[in-house]
Amino acid sequence: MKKLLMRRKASDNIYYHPDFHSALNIAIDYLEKNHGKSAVKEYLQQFASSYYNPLTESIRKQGLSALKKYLKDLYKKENGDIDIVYSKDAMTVLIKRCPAILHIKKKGGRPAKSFSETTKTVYETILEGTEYEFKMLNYDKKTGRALLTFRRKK
Amino acid sequence: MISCTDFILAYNEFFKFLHERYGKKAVIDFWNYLSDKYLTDLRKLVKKHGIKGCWIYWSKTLNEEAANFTMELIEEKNQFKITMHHCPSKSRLLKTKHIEPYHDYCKHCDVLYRRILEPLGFEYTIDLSKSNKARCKIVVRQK
Repeated sequence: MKKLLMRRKASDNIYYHPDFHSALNIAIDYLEKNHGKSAVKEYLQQFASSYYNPLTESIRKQGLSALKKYLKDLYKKENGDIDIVYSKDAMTVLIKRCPAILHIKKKGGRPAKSFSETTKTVYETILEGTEYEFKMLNYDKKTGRALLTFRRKK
Repeated sequence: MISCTDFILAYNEFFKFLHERYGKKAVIDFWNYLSDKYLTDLRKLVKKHGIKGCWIYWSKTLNEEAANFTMELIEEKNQFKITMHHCPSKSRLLKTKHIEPYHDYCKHCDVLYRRILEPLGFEYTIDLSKSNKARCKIVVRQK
């Protein structure tokens, strides 16, 4: 009897499953349609304040350099394209190519209306309780191209 | 952007958020919705290839998720099996010490896949008795 068998260890592969961008997009869309835009923001605040708490702590201790390293690693891992202009008190990040939006569209999906909150609300929350503030200066919903600034509060 | 490698943590928090705000039914409703919208590739593959569609689908996803697993297909018996030795999602939750896993996290794998496979004429069983150790077993058989 013909039998196909596949045995894999975790170390045989690199953990990278871009379809999860589509799953998150569906979750955001679902939440907005069923419970409103405020629910999307509240969910992302809850997620970011709990999961990214170690990053917030690093920013408190090391300043924006911790966030710079995080962003560089993140977009490298996801094959994104960003430019960073960094100084101790301010950092500007131009996201030229958003891997999440690219993947969602490649799979035939449409980014949820509130999808930009996965950037805006998440970074606002990460910076809460630090000396820095975040602003998303522009965001193209079709491509995810965005200009972000992180600067020391006056 | 939330990295796709952080998705499992976002997903876990999503279940907790829905449950705390709107109750368990809201979580189940979301799983059903996600199954319909997200697992379209699995549905298409099983419709086209029968039980072998399961093999094709999970060959991609489990490798991309760097799972520790054994997968088996016996087409003549119309039987497909996954033995998950170490689930990448659950193990990530267990490893992330500052995050508490949603108490019924693994149940989503029961709801999502059952909803696709049973209407296509397959019996779907999942053994989650060792899910606290990130282990489980899935068997799909033609009815």
